[in-house]
Amino acid sequence: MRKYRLAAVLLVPLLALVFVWTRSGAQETPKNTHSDYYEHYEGTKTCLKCHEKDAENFFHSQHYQWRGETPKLVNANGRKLGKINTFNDFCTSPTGNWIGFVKNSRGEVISRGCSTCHAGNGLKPSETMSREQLENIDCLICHASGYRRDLYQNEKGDLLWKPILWKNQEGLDSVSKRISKPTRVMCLRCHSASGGGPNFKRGDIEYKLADPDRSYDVHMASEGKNMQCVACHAGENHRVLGRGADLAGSDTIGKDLTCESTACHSAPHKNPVLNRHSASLNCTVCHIPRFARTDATDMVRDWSKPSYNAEADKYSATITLQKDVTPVYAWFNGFTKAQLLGEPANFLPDGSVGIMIPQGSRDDPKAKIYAFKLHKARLPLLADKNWLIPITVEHFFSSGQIDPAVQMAAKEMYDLSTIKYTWVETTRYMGIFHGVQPKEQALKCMDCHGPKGVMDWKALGYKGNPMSLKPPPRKN
Amino acid sequence: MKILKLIVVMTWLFLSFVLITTRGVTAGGDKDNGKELFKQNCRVCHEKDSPNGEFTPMSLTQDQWKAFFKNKFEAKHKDVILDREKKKLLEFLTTQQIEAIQKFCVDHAADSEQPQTCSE
Repeated sequence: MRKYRLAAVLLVPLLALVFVWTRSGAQETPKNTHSDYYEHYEGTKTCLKCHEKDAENFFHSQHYQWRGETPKLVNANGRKLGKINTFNDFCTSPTGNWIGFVKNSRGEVISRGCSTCHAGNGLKPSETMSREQLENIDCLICHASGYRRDLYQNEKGDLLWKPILWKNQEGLDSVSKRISKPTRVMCLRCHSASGGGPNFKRGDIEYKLADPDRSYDVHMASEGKNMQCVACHAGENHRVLGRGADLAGSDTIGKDLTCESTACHSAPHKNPVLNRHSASLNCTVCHIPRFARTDATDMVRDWSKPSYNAEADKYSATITLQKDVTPVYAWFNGFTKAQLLGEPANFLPDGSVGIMIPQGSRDDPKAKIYAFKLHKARLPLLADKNWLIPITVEHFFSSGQIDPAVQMAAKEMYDLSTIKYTWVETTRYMGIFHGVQPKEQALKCMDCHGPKGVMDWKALGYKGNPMSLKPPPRKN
Repeated sequence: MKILKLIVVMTWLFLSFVLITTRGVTAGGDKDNGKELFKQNCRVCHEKDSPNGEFTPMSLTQDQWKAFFKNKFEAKHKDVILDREKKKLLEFLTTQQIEAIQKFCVDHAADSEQPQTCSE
């Protein structure tokens, strides 16, 4: 008995010690993985000495080009498209908004342009590869822990993104050697900040994902699986796997990212009824019952009504934020119809213009029901042509004058002067894929099939609640 | 048995030490506003184009700030007199206030999640 007591008193502290060491690993200081490879970081050319081929691969990727092949757009007709040459209903377009200091009346910088989140040093991406373009790639923004940059004007007057440590070579050398695959924090800096505020744009990509608990996300929970974004969004040669339902381009042609395709969840439920549901339902429908649970997301952006933020001394569209939102549900077969620039508006039955509309229906054997954020906006519509017009937001942020910002965009985008336009409502469906909750928090039968269920059965092509109607099973 | 008890006590003491150091728990510092203290006492001599060098929290990395406060801060400032106080800087700044300034610098260093100049 004394032996057991002896073992116990020795073992308990030792196990506790192991626990402490393991826990501290979740927040461990980044390692200087590149200490032996170079002495001083001198910009991207330092990386290119060993990673020329990687840079060439990255040059062709969506993260650099902001455009790509469009096999999943039904109306792209083979064009390479992406945010660089389309538009959206948030900050509308990088054209005219790429880079620059926008200052308010107090002289404070209130915007630096869309290139803030481009993995380049300031040049717009060209489709032709060159030394200048390769050296424009900012490797550190995705790979160096602790790397931060800011916009500077050089002696020639050019605007460039440079490390904020550019005057501190010792500090810059230290940071530039902390190289790793992108961590969640690195990805979130752009993917959560897009749209003008935390979680404004996507709704399901919150800063909370940097360090979530299991009830928030079972995959990325820091004290659980602690998966990084790149665990699922893997890909090869800097081409990232996975395409949101409202993205124009695809980075990995012929490879889709789904829960099943990762070989993690081929037959996920013990209950066969639930597994049968997966023939018609994407996993996210039940397992992401709510989104924007921490940071409110932009649900409506009305560019026709300027709004002034006195604290920031900055104008914006009138934005309706919403927190803890129930998704809308729609059929989706992997294809999307996009509203493209210089093409007549695609009006939906509700009178709005469909900017990104998931394709598929109940009769489509390749379609499943997915969870979406439904984003509404009001954008200018060119008279006679019915073309949507983006907005030169960088002009608008400081002045609050919407008409000149529309006129400037029409000139930049369509080379048209003094145009006439009206305001039109737009609709975008944005897939909800992040914030997967534990099964205890997933939707239950009556959450969909009860009298106050979340599904709009008629909109989905049913006559009513399938459980009460007892329809014949789906053929596919 | 006494030796055994001693081992257990020592182990727990060691564990407590490890817990405190790995969690970055620091005593003091939080009660004072490091940002205001930095503005009042540091920026006055380290503004842009200052002959003493421009310093904001994001001028250095977190490790550089820690090393600076540990090894150089006192030596570099031992003769500094602030006009406002007519006293030597190191005589009127308390240890707790220096800790608060250090915390502000480290928390908003160039490689922190929220780099800052003290004017933001």
